[in-house]
Amino acid sequence: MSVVLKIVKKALPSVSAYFVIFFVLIVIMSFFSGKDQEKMYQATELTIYAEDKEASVLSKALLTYLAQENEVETEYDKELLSDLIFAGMVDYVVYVEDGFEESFLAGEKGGIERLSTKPNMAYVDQKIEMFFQYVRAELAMGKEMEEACASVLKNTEHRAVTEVLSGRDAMSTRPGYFFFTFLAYIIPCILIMILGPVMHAFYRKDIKMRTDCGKVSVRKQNIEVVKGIVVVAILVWALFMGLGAVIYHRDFTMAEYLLGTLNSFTILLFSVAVSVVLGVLLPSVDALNGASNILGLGMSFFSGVFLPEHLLPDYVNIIGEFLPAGWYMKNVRLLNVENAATTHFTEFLVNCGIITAFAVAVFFVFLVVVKRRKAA
Amino acid sequence: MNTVVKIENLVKRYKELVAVDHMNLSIKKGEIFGLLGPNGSGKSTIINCLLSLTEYDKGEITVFGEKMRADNYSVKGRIGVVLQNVAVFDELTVYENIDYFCSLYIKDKEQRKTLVQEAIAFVGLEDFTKFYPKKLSGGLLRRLNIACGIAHKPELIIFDEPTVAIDPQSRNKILEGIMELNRQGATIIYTSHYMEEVEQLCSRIAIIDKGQLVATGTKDELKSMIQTGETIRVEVPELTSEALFGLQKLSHVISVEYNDGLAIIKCSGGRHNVLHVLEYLSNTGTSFGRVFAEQPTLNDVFLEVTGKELRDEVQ
Amino acid sequence: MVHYVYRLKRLLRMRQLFFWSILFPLLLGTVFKVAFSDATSKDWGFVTIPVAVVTEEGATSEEAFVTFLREMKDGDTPFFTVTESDRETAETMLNDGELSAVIVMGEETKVLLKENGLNSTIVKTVVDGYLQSKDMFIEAAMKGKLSEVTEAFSEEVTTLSAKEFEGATTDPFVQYFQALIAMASLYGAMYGLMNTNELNQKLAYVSARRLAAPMRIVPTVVCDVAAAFTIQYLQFLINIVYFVLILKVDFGNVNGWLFLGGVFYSLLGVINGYFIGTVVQKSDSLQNSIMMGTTMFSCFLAGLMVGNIRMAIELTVPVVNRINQATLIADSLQALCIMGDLEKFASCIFGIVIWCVCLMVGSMLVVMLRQKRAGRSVAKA
Repeated sequence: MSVVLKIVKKALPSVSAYFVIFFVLIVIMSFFSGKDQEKMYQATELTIYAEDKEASVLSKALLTYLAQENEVETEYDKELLSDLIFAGMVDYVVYVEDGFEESFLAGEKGGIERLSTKPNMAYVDQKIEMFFQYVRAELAMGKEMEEACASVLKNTEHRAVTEVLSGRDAMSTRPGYFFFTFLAYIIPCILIMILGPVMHAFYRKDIKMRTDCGKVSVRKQNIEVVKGIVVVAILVWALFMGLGAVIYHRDFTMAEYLLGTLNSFTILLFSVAVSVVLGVLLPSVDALNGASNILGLGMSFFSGVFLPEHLLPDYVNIIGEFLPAGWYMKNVRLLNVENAATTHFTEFLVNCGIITAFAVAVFFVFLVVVKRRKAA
Repeated sequence: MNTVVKIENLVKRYKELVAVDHMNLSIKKGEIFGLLGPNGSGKSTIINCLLSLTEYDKGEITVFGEKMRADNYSVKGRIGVVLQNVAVFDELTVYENIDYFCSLYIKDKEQRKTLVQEAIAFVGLEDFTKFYPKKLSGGLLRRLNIACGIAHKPELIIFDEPTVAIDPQSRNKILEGIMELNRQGATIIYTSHYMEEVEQLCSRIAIIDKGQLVATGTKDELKSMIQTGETIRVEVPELTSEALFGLQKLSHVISVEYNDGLAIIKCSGGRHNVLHVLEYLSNTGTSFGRVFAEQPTLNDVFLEVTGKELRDEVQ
Repeated sequence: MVHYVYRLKRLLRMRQLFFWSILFPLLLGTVFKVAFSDATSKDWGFVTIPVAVVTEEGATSEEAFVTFLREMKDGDTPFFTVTESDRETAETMLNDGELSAVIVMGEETKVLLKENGLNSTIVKTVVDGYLQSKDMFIEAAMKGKLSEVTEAFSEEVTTLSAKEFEGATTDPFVQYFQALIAMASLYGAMYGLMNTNELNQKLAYVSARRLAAPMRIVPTVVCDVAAAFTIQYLQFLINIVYFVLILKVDFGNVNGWLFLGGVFYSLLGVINGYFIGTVVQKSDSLQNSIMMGTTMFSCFLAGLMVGNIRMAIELTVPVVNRINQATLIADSLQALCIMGDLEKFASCIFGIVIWCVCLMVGSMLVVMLRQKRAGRSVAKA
């Protein structure tokens, strides 16, 4: 076992870099993530950029109206605005042209430009057109512009009664969510980089021949290697879980955190199996490095680790079904569902079972490879 | 200009350790000059100073009559180096390696092409030109290493222990090659801790120990410097103490040792020493078996001058 | 020249370097493409929202409401598909995710939602609008101005006109590829690292042989840099060609300036390597992990894993974006190809040049300091 630890030690500098990146990542992601929500309706806030060249009573009322449920920004410079629109961080832009109120009163068309590169933003168009309809109606009732706008704004406070069945926002998530999400990326990467070299060293042909000639029985040696691997894997896992518990204990209930831990344990099993197979199959430690990156990044992309599921095309989600990380992510999303520990418990366990089955299958591959190699 | 390399008063320190201590050497054109000394005696340091790979604390080195400096490119261009460790690029083939190192000296493409071909033929790597170094055996690798150093036909070639850890066959090939290069006109500096090689190869030898020059000269000159001229070993089943005493009394005999039926008689350089010894033995009625007579070796020289065996230092 | 050619040959034959600098970005790009190709088109236009209307006692004008819902359109796409059913069925369907919302018409109008989100917001907004219009008609009727209000409502005056986005493309997933180009460029550090390590006598015997030869050191170093740069630039071209022509990523307006930009991206990568190689002299693996770590982190901030992060940083701590190498590269690509903003492109490139100069001067200072400290026993190089 001490030999195993020695080999592991060698891989530590490069792995510790991953550790650091991982934690920086989740801290940053948490920083940008949404807040947990009450079980009540809350409008999805759009970021609307408004450029009001006129600043008339009417245009100001429009902005107030839009700001009722959205975030209205007015201060970006042109260049930044373009970048933000492109990045999808400004959902909708309104340009109010000078002389708008006059042309509005004259019953002319136009006067306001809108820009959006996002889907479903037509409802904002509707909302704006409706606002002007209200104003026209109020004016028709003989009110002055100022009075008309004020009563429209007052009117729009009338809302339908709303009930929300699920308490959590479909889009926003708790910070701890990212912790479990990114584990699907980091655990396989790190384990391949740590355990791969161990297997590589022990199953290199010349070393294998030498150890096979030694006094210690093959069985005993294997037990030593297995012991080493188990200890290392558990250490890595415990380290993550411990840190996660310290940082995110407020985000999860005990039951949720335990489920998340169980889930990550299954992905750990899978990662160990993959590391062991790759360590035996790949020709060099460098190749292992490459494999860990390809596997880590590739599997994560197809499983929705980096991008939410609903943004991915269907066939990618289908590919995800064939990857353990895909099932892992299903469980992580379940954790985001309220009271998952009680309502979705069976589903959760089934998913865990599937991941474990992946691990067993890969481990079986390892046994076949080793057996073949012995026969050769 | 007959002197190719002149080293005067060279001192090189590594912190407290004096690696080279007031060294004076002069190497003449056409020589195969051997630097003989145990590992760590300062041979490689001298070579590094000679090539201006390291700075030194004191002294002056002249090569081809010019002061040797790191930027004395005209002198560097006339030198070839074959270092102890194989110094080639793993990513280049045999041909490309030789061509690359040759290109550091020879700019003309056509000329280089012939030179590289000649070098390949010289070391006998014709069948391996497209091989990568990793695919070559140890001996072949050494030959490639040599080819890289000599392809540009240097006038002075420095071999720093080129035969370490190599099979006897390859070693002989390499030694023959060095002699051939010398015949073609190159001056050779050859460092080694194998005295047999140096003895076989070199026309002049400097013996070095702990950074100091212990002795220098041709091998005969070196051998004549010491007392022992000839060592005679005689298998004598039984040697009486009188006979032993008598042997010691013989002229030219310096010392006699008798152990386990073997008498070792060291003589100074007289003639017919063996005859005298055997005559004496038969006269005293002592029966004897096989007789060996050996000329002194460089090891004897080293032993007498430094008081320790050269071999002891060899791992 | 020979030195340069052989250097190039050697670097190209180092399999690990070849993988990381050339194959890895291509592989990652392919993964991105496969993962994102439909993501944008899937999300484009209006995606019709399924709702159910439940009529309960006390409801008024529910038919008008259903018609109102059905008439909401974005071009030809209706906002909603409306099912009319009883409350129980509707709630089950809502729970199963078949519906986004259930609108219950009774004495008061109620919206049942499964969860918060954009679709919920749309339904809610539309229902609110309907209720508010109704209020208005009631008020008008009370004031006896119903006909005026009805007229005002029936007038079809559109105030909004659409403005086109000025960027060359609206596909935000290009951001991932911009960050990917940044990553590939910064991986050029591997070649720089390789070069310094060989100079620093890691391969002592080979470098001794080179130093013994009548070659000036400066041209040799220049050749080394040139070779590393060549590969790096080649890598950049391969990436662009592969992404634009084979993967058909909509990179925007690819023009000559891009190829000038590539020169600086490649240079930056190589110089990074020289800097790390000079400053960190402990072990190869430490150097490599520092190189990989900083590159990956820099690329994360530039949006390699989460595309939007660059803009999020721009809004919170913009100075990071002015400094971060990968962001400078990604930003310059966006300014040039998407926004057609040459001025911003130039300022990003300027930032890269400043990095290059700083790192070069930094490495030289470190070397000089070290030589001074080591005194005369340092090997002349």
